Amino acid sequence: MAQEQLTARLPGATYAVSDTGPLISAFQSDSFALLANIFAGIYIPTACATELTKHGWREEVHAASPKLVIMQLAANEERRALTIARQIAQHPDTNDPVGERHLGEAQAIVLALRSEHRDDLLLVDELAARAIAKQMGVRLSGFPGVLLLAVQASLISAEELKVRLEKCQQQGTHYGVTFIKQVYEMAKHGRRKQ
Amino acid sequence: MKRKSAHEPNAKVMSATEVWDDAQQIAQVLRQNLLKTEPMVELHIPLSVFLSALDTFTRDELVLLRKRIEDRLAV
Repeated sequence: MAQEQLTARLPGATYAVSDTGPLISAFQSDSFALLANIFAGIYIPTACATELTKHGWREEVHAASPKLVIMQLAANEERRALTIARQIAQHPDTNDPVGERHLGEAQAIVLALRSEHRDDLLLVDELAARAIAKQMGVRLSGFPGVLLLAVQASLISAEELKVRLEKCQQQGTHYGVTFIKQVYEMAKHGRRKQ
Repeated sequence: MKRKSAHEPNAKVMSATEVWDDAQQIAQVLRQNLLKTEPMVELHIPLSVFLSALDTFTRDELVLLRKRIEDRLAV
Protein backbone atom coordinates (compact mmCIF):
# COMPACT_ATOMS: atom_id res chain seq x y z
CA MET A 1 0.00 0.00 0.00
CA ALA A 2 1.07 3.61 -0.57
CA GLN A 3 2.88 4.52 2.61
CA GLU A 4 4.01 8.12 3.00
CA GLN A 5 4.61 8.86 -0.71
CA LEU A 6 2.59 12.07 -1.20
CA THR A 7 5.26 14.49 -0.06
CA ALA A 8 5.14 17.65 -2.20
CA ARG A 9 2.08 19.68 -1.26
CA LEU A 10 0.47 21.85 -3.91
CA PRO A 11 0.19 25.53 -2.91
CA GLY A 12 -3.40 26.62 -2.37
CA ALA A 13 -4.71 23.05 -2.40
CA THR A 14 -6.58 21.49 0.51
CA TYR A 15 -5.71 18.05 1.88
CA ALA A 16 -7.70 15.79 4.18
CA VAL A 17 -6.91 13.37 6.97
CA SER A 18 -9.53 10.63 7.08
CA ASP A 19 -10.94 8.19 9.57
CA THR A 20 -12.03 4.74 8.35
CA GLY A 21 -15.79 5.39 8.10
CA PRO A 22 -15.82 8.23 5.55
CA LEU A 23 -13.38 6.34 3.31
CA ILE A 24 -15.53 3.19 3.38
CA SER A 25 -18.53 5.38 2.50
CA ALA A 26 -16.54 6.82 -0.42
CA PHE A 27 -15.65 3.32 -1.65
CA GLN A 28 -19.20 2.01 -1.15
CA SER A 29 -20.66 4.82 -3.25
CA ASP A 30 -17.89 5.04 -5.88
CA SER A 31 -17.09 8.51 -4.58
CA PHE A 32 -13.34 8.32 -4.07
CA ALA A 33 -12.75 10.18 -7.37
CA LEU A 34 -15.04 12.94 -6.10
CA LEU A 35 -13.06 13.13 -2.86
CA ALA A 36 -9.85 13.29 -4.89
CA ASN A 37 -11.39 16.10 -6.94
CA ILE A 38 -12.02 18.19 -3.82
CA PHE A 39 -8.91 17.26 -1.83
CA ALA A 40 -5.42 17.18 -3.35
CA GLY A 41 -4.56 14.20 -1.18
CA ILE A 42 -5.98 12.13 1.65
CA TYR A 43 -3.91 10.84 4.56
CA ILE A 44 -4.89 7.96 6.82
CA PRO A 45 -3.09 6.56 9.87
CA THR A 46 -2.02 2.91 10.01
CA ALA A 47 -4.88 1.96 12.38
CA CYS A 48 -7.40 3.06 9.71
CA ALA A 49 -5.48 1.18 6.99
CA THR A 50 -5.70 -1.95 9.15
CA GLU A 51 -9.45 -1.42 9.66
CA LEU A 52 -9.98 -0.91 5.91
CA THR A 53 -8.17 -4.20 5.21
CA LYS A 54 -10.20 -5.95 7.91
CA HIS A 55 -13.41 -4.73 6.25
CA GLY A 56 -12.31 -6.01 2.81
CA TRP A 57 -11.32 -2.70 1.16
CA ARG A 58 -7.60 -3.42 0.65
CA GLU A 59 -7.84 -3.41 -3.16
CA GLU A 60 -9.67 -0.07 -3.18
CA VAL A 61 -7.05 1.43 -0.85
CA HIS A 62 -4.31 0.18 -3.17
CA ALA A 63 -6.11 1.57 -6.25
CA ALA A 64 -6.54 4.96 -4.53
CA SER A 65 -2.76 5.42 -4.37
CA PRO A 66 -1.03 7.89 -4.75
CA LYS A 67 -3.93 10.15 -3.73
CA LEU A 68 -4.42 8.09 -0.58
CA VAL A 69 -1.41 7.92 1.69
CA ILE A 70 -0.93 5.80 4.81
CA MET A 71 0.95 7.60 7.57
CA GLN A 72 2.86 5.97 10.42
CA LEU A 73 2.57 7.79 13.74
CA ALA A 74 5.59 8.30 15.99
CA ALA A 75 5.67 6.38 19.27
CA ASN A 76 4.63 9.43 21.32
CA GLU A 77 1.77 10.10 18.88
CA GLU A 78 0.58 6.51 19.22
CA ARG A 79 0.51 6.90 23.00
CA ARG A 80 -1.45 10.12 22.63
CA ALA A 81 -3.87 8.37 20.27
CA LEU A 82 -4.48 5.67 22.85
CA THR A 83 -5.39 8.34 25.42
CA ILE A 84 -7.75 10.00 22.92
CA ALA A 85 -9.28 6.61 22.04
CA ARG A 86 -10.14 6.13 25.72
CA GLN A 87 -11.67 9.63 25.83
CA ILE A 88 -13.85 8.74 22.83
CA ALA A 89 -14.86 5.47 24.51
CA GLN A 90 -16.02 7.37 27.60
CA HIS A 91 -17.92 10.02 25.65
CA PRO A 92 -21.72 9.97 26.10
CA ASP A 93 -22.22 9.90 22.32
CA THR A 94 -20.52 6.54 21.79
CA ASN A 95 -22.08 3.08 21.88
CA ASP A 96 -18.74 1.34 22.32
CA PRO A 97 -16.94 1.75 25.67
CA VAL A 98 -13.79 -0.15 24.57
CA GLY A 99 -10.99 2.36 23.96
CA GLU A 100 -8.94 0.17 21.63
CA ARG A 101 -11.86 0.01 19.19
CA HIS A 102 -11.64 3.80 18.70
CA LEU A 103 -7.97 3.76 17.76
CA GLY A 104 -8.67 4.59 14.10
CA GLU A 105 -10.54 7.79 14.91
CA ALA A 106 -8.00 8.68 17.62
CA GLN A 107 -4.99 8.19 15.32
CA ALA A 108 -6.70 10.27 12.62
CA ILE A 109 -7.22 13.08 15.16
CA VAL A 110 -3.55 12.94 16.22
CA LEU A 111 -2.47 13.02 12.58
CA ALA A 112 -4.73 16.03 11.92
CA LEU A 113 -3.13 17.81 14.90
CA ARG A 114 0.33 17.72 13.28
CA SER A 115 1.52 21.20 12.32
CA GLU A 116 1.83 20.20 8.65
CA HIS A 117 -1.91 19.38 8.67
CA ARG A 118 -3.10 22.60 10.33
CA ASP A 119 -4.66 23.80 7.06
CA ASP A 120 -6.21 20.39 6.32
CA LEU A 121 -9.57 18.95 7.18
CA LEU A 122 -10.37 15.83 9.21
CA LEU A 123 -13.01 13.50 7.73
CA VAL A 124 -14.91 11.72 10.49
CA ASP A 125 -18.55 10.65 10.85
CA GLU A 126 -18.68 9.22 14.34
CA LEU A 127 -20.31 11.64 16.80
CA ALA A 128 -18.08 11.08 19.84
CA ALA A 129 -14.85 11.34 17.82
CA ARG A 130 -16.17 14.52 16.17
CA ALA A 131 -16.86 16.05 19.60
CA ILE A 132 -13.37 15.22 20.89
CA ALA A 133 -11.71 16.48 17.69
CA LYS A 134 -13.66 19.75 17.85
CA GLN A 135 -12.59 20.24 21.48
CA MET A 136 -9.00 19.97 20.23
CA GLY A 137 -9.58 22.63 17.57
CA VAL A 138 -9.57 20.31 14.56
CA ARG A 139 -11.66 21.45 11.58
CA LEU A 140 -13.70 18.54 10.31
CA SER A 141 -16.46 17.18 8.11
CA GLY A 142 -18.27 13.91 7.71
CA PHE A 143 -18.64 12.12 4.37
CA PRO A 144 -22.20 13.46 3.81
CA GLY A 145 -20.82 16.99 4.27
CA VAL A 146 -18.35 16.36 1.44
CA LEU A 147 -21.23 15.26 -0.79
CA LEU A 148 -23.27 18.35 0.16
CA LEU A 149 -20.29 20.58 -0.65
CA ALA A 150 -20.01 18.76 -3.98
CA VAL A 151 -23.65 19.61 -4.73
CA GLN A 152 -23.13 23.25 -3.73
CA ALA A 153 -20.06 23.37 -5.99
CA SER A 154 -22.10 21.81 -8.86
CA LEU A 155 -19.84 18.75 -8.99
CA ILE A 156 -22.82 16.41 -8.52
CA SER A 157 -26.61 16.85 -8.38
CA ALA A 158 -28.78 16.55 -5.26
CA GLU A 159 -30.18 13.34 -6.75
CA GLU A 160 -26.67 11.91 -7.08
CA LEU A 161 -26.02 12.79 -3.43
CA LYS A 162 -29.13 10.84 -2.43
CA VAL A 163 -28.15 7.82 -4.54
CA ARG A 164 -24.63 7.79 -3.06
CA LEU A 165 -25.88 7.98 0.54
CA GLU A 166 -28.44 5.23 -0.20
CA LYS A 167 -25.66 3.02 -1.64
CA CYS A 168 -23.76 3.42 1.64
CA GLN A 169 -26.87 2.64 3.67
CA GLN A 170 -27.61 -0.48 1.59
CA GLN A 171 -24.10 -1.71 2.35
CA GLY A 172 -24.51 -1.27 6.11
CA THR A 173 -23.27 2.25 6.76
CA HIS A 174 -25.09 4.12 9.51
CA TYR A 175 -27.02 6.73 7.48
CA GLY A 176 -30.75 6.44 8.32
CA VAL A 177 -33.66 6.96 5.91
CA THR A 178 -34.75 10.21 7.61
CA PHE A 179 -31.16 11.47 7.70
CA ILE A 180 -30.71 10.84 3.95
CA LYS A 181 -34.04 12.54 3.19
CA GLN A 182 -33.06 15.60 5.27
CA VAL A 183 -29.62 15.90 3.66
CA TYR A 184 -31.18 15.47 0.20
CA GLU A 185 -33.73 18.23 0.94
CA MET A 186 -30.93 20.55 2.07
CA ALA A 187 -28.94 19.75 -1.05
CA LYS A 188 -31.97 20.49 -3.20
CA HIS A 189 -33.46 23.52 -1.46
CA GLY A 190 -30.89 24.83 1.04
CA ARG A 191 -30.96 24.71 4.82
CA ARG A 192 -34.06 26.81 5.55
CA LYS A 193 -36.51 24.80 3.50
CA GLN A 194 -35.83 21.38 5.07
CA MET B 1 -12.53 -12.15 -2.67
CA LYS B 2 -13.00 -11.04 0.95
CA ARG B 3 -16.52 -9.87 1.73
CA LYS B 4 -16.71 -6.12 2.17
CA SER B 5 -18.29 -4.65 5.28
CA ALA B 6 -19.15 -1.30 6.83
CA HIS B 7 -17.29 0.21 9.77
CA GLU B 8 -19.05 0.50 13.15
CA PRO B 9 -22.58 0.06 11.69
CA ASN B 10 -24.21 0.99 15.02
CA ALA B 11 -22.16 4.11 15.71
CA LYS B 12 -23.98 7.39 16.32
CA VAL B 13 -23.23 9.82 13.49
CA MET B 14 -23.77 13.52 12.84
CA SER B 15 -27.23 15.05 12.32
CA ALA B 16 -28.41 16.56 9.04
CA THR B 17 -27.90 20.03 10.53
CA GLU B 18 -24.27 19.19 11.21
CA VAL B 19 -23.92 18.02 7.59
CA TRP B 20 -24.80 21.55 6.51
CA ASP B 21 -22.21 22.98 8.89
CA ASP B 22 -19.67 20.44 7.60
CA ALA B 23 -20.17 21.57 4.01
CA GLN B 24 -19.73 25.22 5.07
CA GLN B 25 -16.58 24.25 6.96
CA ILE B 26 -15.07 22.55 3.89
CA ALA B 27 -15.95 25.55 1.72
CA GLN B 28 -14.28 27.89 4.21
CA VAL B 29 -11.09 25.78 4.42
CA LEU B 30 -10.90 25.48 0.62
CA ARG B 31 -11.31 29.25 0.26
CA GLN B 32 -8.77 30.08 2.96
CA ASN B 33 -6.18 27.77 1.41
CA LEU B 34 -6.79 29.25 -2.04
CA LEU B 35 -6.39 32.79 -0.69
CA LYS B 36 -2.94 31.90 0.63
CA THR B 37 -1.63 31.54 -2.91
CA GLU B 38 -2.95 34.89 -4.07
CA PRO B 39 -0.38 37.66 -4.46
CA MET B 40 -1.04 40.54 -2.04
CA VAL B 41 -1.42 44.08 -3.35
CA GLU B 42 -1.89 47.40 -1.60
CA LEU B 43 -5.01 49.19 -2.75
CA HIS B 44 -5.80 52.85 -2.01
CA ILE B 45 -9.53 53.52 -2.34
CA PRO B 46 -11.94 55.88 -0.55
CA LEU B 47 -13.37 54.31 2.62
CA SER B 48 -16.94 54.91 1.36
CA VAL B 49 -16.21 52.76 -1.71
CA PHE B 50 -14.92 49.99 0.49
CA LEU B 51 -17.98 50.21 2.76
CA SER B 52 -20.43 50.13 -0.14
CA ALA B 53 -18.60 47.10 -1.55
CA LEU B 54 -19.56 45.23 1.63
CA ASP B 55 -23.17 45.18 0.39
CA THR B 56 -22.12 42.83 -2.41
CA PHE B 57 -20.34 40.35 -0.12
CA THR B 58 -21.82 36.90 0.48
CA ARG B 59 -22.49 35.68 4.00
CA ASP B 60 -19.35 33.53 3.96
CA GLU B 61 -17.25 36.47 2.79
CA LEU B 62 -18.72 38.65 5.53
CA VAL B 63 -17.92 35.98 8.14
CA LEU B 64 -14.35 35.85 6.84
CA LEU B 65 -14.14 39.65 6.97
CA ARG B 66 -15.55 39.73 10.51
CA LYS B 67 -12.92 37.24 11.64
CA ARG B 68 -10.20 39.35 10.03
CA ILE B 69 -11.52 42.49 11.78
CA GLU B 70 -11.80 40.71 15.13
CA ASP B 71 -8.22 39.46 14.77
CA ARG B 72 -7.01 43.01 14.04
CA LEU B 73 -9.00 44.49 16.95
CA ALA B 74 -7.59 41.89 19.31
CA VAL B 75 -4.02 43.07 18.71
